[in-house]
Amino acid sequence: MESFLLILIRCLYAYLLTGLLFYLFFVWKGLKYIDRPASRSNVWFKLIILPGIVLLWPYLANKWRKSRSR
Amino acid sequence: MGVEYKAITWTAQKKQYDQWVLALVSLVLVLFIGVSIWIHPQATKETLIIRSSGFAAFLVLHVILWIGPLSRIDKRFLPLLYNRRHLGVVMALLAMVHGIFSMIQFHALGDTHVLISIFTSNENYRSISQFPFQVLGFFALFIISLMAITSHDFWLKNLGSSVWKFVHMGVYLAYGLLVAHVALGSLQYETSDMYPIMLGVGFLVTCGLHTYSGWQSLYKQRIVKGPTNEEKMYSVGTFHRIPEGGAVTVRIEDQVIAIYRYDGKIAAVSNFCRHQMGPLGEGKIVDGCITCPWHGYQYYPHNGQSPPPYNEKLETYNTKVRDGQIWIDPRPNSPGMAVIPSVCPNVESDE
Repeated sequence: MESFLLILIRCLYAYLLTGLLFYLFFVWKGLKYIDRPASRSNVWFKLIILPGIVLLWPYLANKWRKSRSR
Repeated sequence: MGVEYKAITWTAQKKQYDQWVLALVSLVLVLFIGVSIWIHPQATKETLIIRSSGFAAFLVLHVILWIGPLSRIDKRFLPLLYNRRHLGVVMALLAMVHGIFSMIQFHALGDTHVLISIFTSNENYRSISQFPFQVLGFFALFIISLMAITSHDFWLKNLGSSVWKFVHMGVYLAYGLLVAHVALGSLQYETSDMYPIMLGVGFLVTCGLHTYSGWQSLYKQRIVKGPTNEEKMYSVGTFHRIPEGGAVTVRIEDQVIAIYRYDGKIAAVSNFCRHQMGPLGEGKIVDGCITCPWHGYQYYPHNGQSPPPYNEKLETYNTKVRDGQIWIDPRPNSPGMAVIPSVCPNVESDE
């Protein structure tokens, strides 16, 4: 049981680390595709949205992909 | 929103509100710590931090839950509603302090991973008196944190108002979990009746206010079933019953519609504000615009569009006024579509 939970926790860490890397790339390249005013906003705003992007990155990645295919 | 975002939007009024919030929260923390030291002089610093932050967070959560129904019952509470988001973030920060210190104090000092320890250190899941109440607090903290990190308007726009609202309605699930967390925790660790009494009063007031305001909203919202005219428009009563610059809310078929009277004209739009689905039918006309009672979002009555530079759009409805009777077509027009407002006859004699 405990080893199974440890695997889950490692998956969680991997998910969050991916989210952090996604954040850096997304703020640099992707934000303007889904929300142009957000890409023009200052660094404090971009820091405020960091935790949400790290947590919800698959949703934003999908939204970014759809906006590029349009 | 069509303009650049700011990290935190602080107007003079919001700054004043936040200063009051910080002062009152500090007062609660100081009072709680002072009384705790007086009653339990042997309490450690960690225990005082955990208990005071938990108490303050739960108290602020009650205030947050009361503001909504109170401002629907009495419009004098509306200024509290405008800045509820900042109150929510303060509550989440207090809850995080409580949660992080609890995890360090009770789960991080052994060999077991902290997240595993929360779920396995007490496995009396079938017992009420010994139930691992910290698990309930953990899930509540997750919901509250998710709400705090998605509270910015950026998330409202990019998640969409329905998803955003769904996530933020999670506050009621978090509240239920926290009521159980506090009740079971005090059952296991408290000998005083003070906590159960405060919890019971808070819970009853929260339920009572929501029930009363919900009943009042339903009472105000007229359900229209007919009669209809040859154009399948519904009669919703005379224009006299709508105050100048104000509105009534009607439900026709599956549509909830805010009908506004302004400058001797009648216009109808969807009742749900694009911002947080606030009840536009409970708002008023300010500077020629329908103004949401919750956060002041504005729309032109004739086309449901927000004034530039904003770009929110509401569905509009076709209306007619005949012999003083207002008729509404419940089939919505596309969001932002202009309609010709109906003119009320003999408005001057009515004023």
